[in-house]
Amino acid sequence: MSAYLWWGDAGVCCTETMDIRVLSQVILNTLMLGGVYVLLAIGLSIIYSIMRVIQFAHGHMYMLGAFAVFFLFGQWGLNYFLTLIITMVMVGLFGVIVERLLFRRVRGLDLPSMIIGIGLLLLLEGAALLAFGAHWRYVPAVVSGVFNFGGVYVPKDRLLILSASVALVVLLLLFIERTKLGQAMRAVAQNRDAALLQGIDVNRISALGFAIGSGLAAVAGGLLLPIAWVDPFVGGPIVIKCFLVLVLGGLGSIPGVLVGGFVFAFIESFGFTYIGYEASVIVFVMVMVVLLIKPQGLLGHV
Amino acid sequence: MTNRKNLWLGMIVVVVLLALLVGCAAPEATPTPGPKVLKLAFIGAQTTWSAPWGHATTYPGVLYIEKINAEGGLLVNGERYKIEAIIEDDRADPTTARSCAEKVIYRDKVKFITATFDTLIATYFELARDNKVIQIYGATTTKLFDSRNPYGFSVMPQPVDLAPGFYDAILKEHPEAKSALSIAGRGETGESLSAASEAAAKAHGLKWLGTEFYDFGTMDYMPIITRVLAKEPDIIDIGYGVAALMTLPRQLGYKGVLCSSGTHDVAMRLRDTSPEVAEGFYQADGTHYPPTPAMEEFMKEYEALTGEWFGYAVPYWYGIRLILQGIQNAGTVDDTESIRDAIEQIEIQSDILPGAPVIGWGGAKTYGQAHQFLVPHCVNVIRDGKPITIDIVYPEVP
Repeated sequence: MSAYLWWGDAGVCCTETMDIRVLSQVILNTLMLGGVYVLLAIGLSIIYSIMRVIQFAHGHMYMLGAFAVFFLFGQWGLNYFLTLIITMVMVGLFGVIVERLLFRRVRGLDLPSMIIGIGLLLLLEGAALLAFGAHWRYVPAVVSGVFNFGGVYVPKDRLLILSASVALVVLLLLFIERTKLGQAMRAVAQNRDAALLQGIDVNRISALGFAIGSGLAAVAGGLLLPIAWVDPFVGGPIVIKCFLVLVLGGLGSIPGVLVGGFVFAFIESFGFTYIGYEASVIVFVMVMVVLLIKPQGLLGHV
Repeated sequence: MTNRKNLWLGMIVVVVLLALLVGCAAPEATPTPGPKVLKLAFIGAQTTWSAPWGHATTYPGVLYIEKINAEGGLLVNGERYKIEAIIEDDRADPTTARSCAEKVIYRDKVKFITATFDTLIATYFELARDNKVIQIYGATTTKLFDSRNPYGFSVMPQPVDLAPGFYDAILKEHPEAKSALSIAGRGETGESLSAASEAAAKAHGLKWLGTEFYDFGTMDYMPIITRVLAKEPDIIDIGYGVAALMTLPRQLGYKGVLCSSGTHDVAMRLRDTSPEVAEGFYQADGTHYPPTPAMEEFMKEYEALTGEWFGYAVPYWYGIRLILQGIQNAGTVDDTESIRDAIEQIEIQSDILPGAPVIGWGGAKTYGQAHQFLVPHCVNVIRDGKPITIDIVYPEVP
């Protein structure tokens, strides 16, 4: 199959790139990238749905997780998977402290929570810079090699990330659907006052939500580190992407995060491959169009 | 009773406020005489993602200043000056960079600025020029150091001057290469790098397959690399790109030449990836491998200060020496016109390169003034897990 794509002066996609191998590669790229975005954004969605706070420092939980893996796995040689578990617990506990000391008092208040989030972001950046320095940090590959399916390459490290992301999301969904604590979280997300009247300890649930959200972001940092890098400033672009996924899918909607994450990944993957750099504009245009037509997001509720 | 109590409280508050105001307005104590001070400003990111480049701009100067001060200060026309380094963090933000420049020029009364990143310098170079401030830049935008800015000097070789020699060295080892392509971060630096790479590739008869740009916030480079590899280039120039741009092509089966014509650090490339991934990677670099004794000493001092060597620091090794030697030769710390004229005459014997070549200025015809310091750069390649220098490019700029 061949085709000719043209996008004004921005770039020409020549006949070769509609080759079925490239198309297959792009589809696989979409799946792999989508898994990452879902993992990153789902934690933020949980925090927002339970506490109604805008956690601007969510990307910096990712950063903390990545640095934890850098030191535990990259420098001290601990088992990678054990490192991920330790990281999730450590940053989860940090999330509990942050919720208790900072965000609890601004629950439900957009502007104060935004300001606190930004302040926390700057604090974490500065502290990480002092502690770890400014240089990009890398770790060796956890698994190396690729699967080659007739010219379509699936790097094993990305397959690991996709598998881990899917597993974590499934576990989270099972937790939310099948456990008492998960049901309590859903109740608080739906109606805080009614949940209180039912005897649910809202403060405890908020802390749990923050712990899970922060822990998931940290695990995402640890999962991505072998294919990316970490520095004190990596959290900023991450949180922007998380918010775009959330806004696209619907704030506070976990199915929305799943849809939003893969739609976002699709636009990026296809756009950057077939159009080039200018595809980054399409992403934002798409978000704006969705918001104009459906302000609550694709699967969000009014 | 309440009114009287309030009255007393109000009077106490007023008295305290007045006392504070008087205290603030009190004349300064007469300063005790001390050594004369020469201030040099370094404007570069000390925080944010571009801190490594900001450190590379600043710390060669800081190290050299410490040495001079330890010897009693800079001797200028029979007087000793203690040198004070004023370090401003521009956070890689244009507005902040402008504020930093205004502060050092208007408040600190500094006459010498060293800085990097064209996008940031562009916000204040005219201010510096109009105030006759000597500026040392790692610049690739010519208006910062051509005849439009008589006080601006560049110590960074221009990509357009380095790229031809860089491609020469690569094609000697890979004569089979027929096409090239570049991947660059969107911005002035990425655009000038890719333009220089394109010009050099075409001049060597290679088919140019285009430039793929990316945002600096990109998390996943798979889509870009997929697009790049679909074009089947023989040479991919990744410019200042991250390690993923080295790793991913190899993971996806790419067997061609990977290189970077943008000044970077080949040892860092090796550290950031692995010997297997980095094998055969070509890098334009200020550092010669193996390093000379003077270079080793500089690398160790820099590492002790910042934690990690970064080859981008090499041009600024020359930069600080140009400023201080220019001041000494002119015999003044204030008359920047004379200092500028003195700097234009300086040649430096570079003992950080083998053979200690003498480096001077170029660009009189190209830029309307010879303010481009012709810092040589090495073409380094990673072989068997180690960087080695296969060639040195001496830029020639008429």
